[in-house]
Amino acid sequence: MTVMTGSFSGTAGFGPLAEQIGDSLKSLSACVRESQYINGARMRAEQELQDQFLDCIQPDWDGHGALPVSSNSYESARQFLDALPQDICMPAFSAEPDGCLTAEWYKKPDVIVSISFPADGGIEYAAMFGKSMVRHGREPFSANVSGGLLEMIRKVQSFG
Amino acid sequence: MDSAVIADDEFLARYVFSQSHVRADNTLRPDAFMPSPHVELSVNRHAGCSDEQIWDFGKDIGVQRNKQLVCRGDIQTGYCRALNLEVCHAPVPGNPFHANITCWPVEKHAQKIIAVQIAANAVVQYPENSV
Repeated sequence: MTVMTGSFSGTAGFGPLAEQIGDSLKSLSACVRESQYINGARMRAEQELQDQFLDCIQPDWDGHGALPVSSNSYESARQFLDALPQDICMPAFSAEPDGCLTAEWYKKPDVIVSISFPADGGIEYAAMFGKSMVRHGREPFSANVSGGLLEMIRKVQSFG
Repeated sequence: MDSAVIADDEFLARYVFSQSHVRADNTLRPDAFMPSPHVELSVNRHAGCSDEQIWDFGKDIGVQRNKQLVCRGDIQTGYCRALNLEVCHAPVPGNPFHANITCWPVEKHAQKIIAVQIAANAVVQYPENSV
């Protein structure tokens, strides 16, 4: 894999064509930096997800009868991560004692979207946008994240 | 006063043993308040206990579970009841201050939204010797 790490600060030539090339290279450089940033965040999220899975793969991982996180839950969470559009920030991952991995988008304690990935498929979500507005439900998940969920996640991201 | 009756203004401690249930800003994730696979959420009453005793019970539980106590989330009984949960005094051997939060809905997403709201209202406390 070729990785571009340099930056383009100017052109050696003169004239409109040289300026045009210079602008294109600067734009390309910005794209490369953005792509590296996104890929880096994505890789960290994947690693965090995998760490959570491995931490909770044994029964009783909490010492209080927790169910093991299943490979189905892990695969479902991974597919969900794959399906997120690029403008969505990476979530934080955790696990619940019933064996579900969870993804969380968080701004402050009462502005949050939490999604669980049950072993039997689908997703369970709960969202809070201030004390008086809550939403929760279950929906199927295959390859695409629903518009409703994306809207909630974007709302958390854009919250003041 | 009947010590088995838990007043609305009494605080309850939820002990947290998983670092991943604590966010970087030291608030608690709702995952720390999910009851399933159990039908109730285990907590410890504050009334009648010194702060030191509350910590001691948490550390004892940590020893039983072979887990390090990370922190505790303090929540008010009345807030749980406002979410249609019930709080029952449920002493266990060695811990007369144990209680259970019961009457959770069956659906997971309905449990989650309650856990989200409890977590948003929880006051996080750390043991004195924690880093």
